[in-house]
Amino acid sequence: MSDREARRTAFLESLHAEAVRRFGPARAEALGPMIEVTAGHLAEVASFPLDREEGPAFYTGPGER
Amino acid sequence: MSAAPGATLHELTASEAAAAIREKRCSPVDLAEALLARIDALDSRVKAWALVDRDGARAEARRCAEEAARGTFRGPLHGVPFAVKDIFYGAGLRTEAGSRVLAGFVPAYDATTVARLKGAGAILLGKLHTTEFATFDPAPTRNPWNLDHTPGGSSSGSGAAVAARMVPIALGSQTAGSAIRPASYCGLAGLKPTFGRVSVRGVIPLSWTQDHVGLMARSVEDLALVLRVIAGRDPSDPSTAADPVPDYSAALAQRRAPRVGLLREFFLERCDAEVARVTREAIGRLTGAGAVVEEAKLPPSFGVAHAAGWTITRAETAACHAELYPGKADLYGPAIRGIIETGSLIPGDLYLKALRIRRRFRRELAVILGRFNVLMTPTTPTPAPAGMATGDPVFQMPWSVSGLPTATVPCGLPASGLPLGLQLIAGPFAEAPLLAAAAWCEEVLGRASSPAL
Repeated sequence: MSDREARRTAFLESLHAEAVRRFGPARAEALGPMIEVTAGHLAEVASFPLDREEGPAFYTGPGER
Repeated sequence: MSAAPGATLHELTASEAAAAIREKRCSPVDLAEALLARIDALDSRVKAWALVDRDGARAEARRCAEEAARGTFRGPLHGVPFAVKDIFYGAGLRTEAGSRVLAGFVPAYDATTVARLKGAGAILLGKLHTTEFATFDPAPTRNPWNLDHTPGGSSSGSGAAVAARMVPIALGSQTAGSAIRPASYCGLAGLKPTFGRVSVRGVIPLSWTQDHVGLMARSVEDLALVLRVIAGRDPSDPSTAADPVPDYSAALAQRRAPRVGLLREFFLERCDAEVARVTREAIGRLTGAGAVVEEAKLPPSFGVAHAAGWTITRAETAACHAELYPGKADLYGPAIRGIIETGSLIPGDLYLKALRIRRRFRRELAVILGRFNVLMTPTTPTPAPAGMATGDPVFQMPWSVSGLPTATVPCGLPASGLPLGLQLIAGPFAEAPLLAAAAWCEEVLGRASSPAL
């Protein structure tokens, strides 16, 4: 299993568990397809290498034109 | 009075109408009445309008006519009607964002964009249907080119109303693909300016760092005219930039064959056969007219741009609705409800990492954009789908997450009878060269005709 796939599986489990805790088992079940997509996105984001000095872009700032 | 020999008033673009009013060839009252009659005749089938402010529009049209008779013109859109997606505040006008959650909500002030258009003399005709909170629970609106098909979303009413000649210009919004996609599905010219170019104050938020105001019209000339009016710093919106606002209309006069970076990878690879064929034919015509078209390569961070964009918007949507949602969950539609709930599960560190990826992506794109006037893709992978689902924003999301300005122009009307478009992308705050390139393409490819309604 690739690192990204392992991460996706881990996110899937943790998001589902949190959904059950917050919204109950029935609602977590209904959210299943969306949780799967979100887990995939989070795995991609988590796996992408970035420099430690890369800060967040909230808005377009001066000097970034 | 007649605007032009043989012209019917509802067919006038905003620029044509403004000129006709200024030259006293057309009365603002006649123009407003013509559009109201058009709405009365067609909207039971198109379903573009959430609210038509007949009394307010008629009163404003009379005022504009009286001022014009005295030789007084408030601005470049004096007497020209416009409409806005029903997430834009209009003082005293019901604004419900397509949701039972906001049933009966009436804002006390105008969105900054609405106020600026009114200040330029434009007349607010009403509010246009949106998918619920500008996400995926569909509006009732149908595509004027084929009523069995979606006009796209989330700015569904904005695209349909302009295409159906019920209003010459409309504002929508785009967080993923909600303005450029419906503009293309409806055969229109559309613009999503750079993030920070146009204020979003008084626009019900979906994602604070990714919401953009979008413009829809039947000509690039109209996009330039409207952008000049609504762009610029808004002290009430901290995301707006203080950069000076150029004369976009003047930039169109300087248009010439652009140097185009064509994005085959990902975009042309994902099109259906009809879109690929029409896109190739359109590029052939542009090249034949003098455009230099070369293949552009996507940067490494493109591969994670969609994931970053959806992570940001999901988390921010959950935050936008954090106060409202718990007490009104049952009033939300299923799609927006799912987005809010899953968005609330996204860990803060990964939300911030997505914002860091956005910055990298923007920087890498700047290097590529330095080699071209514009990048180009098909606007959508398919024509407007049949049914209620509003289509796929996959070709818009990278430019929404990066905040770069994009435009669409019609590029063909294939046998399906559903219009297709070309999407152009430029560097940050490069709306003037973007619109100039779009106008040049429009001149070569032609505007879409009127849908038969």
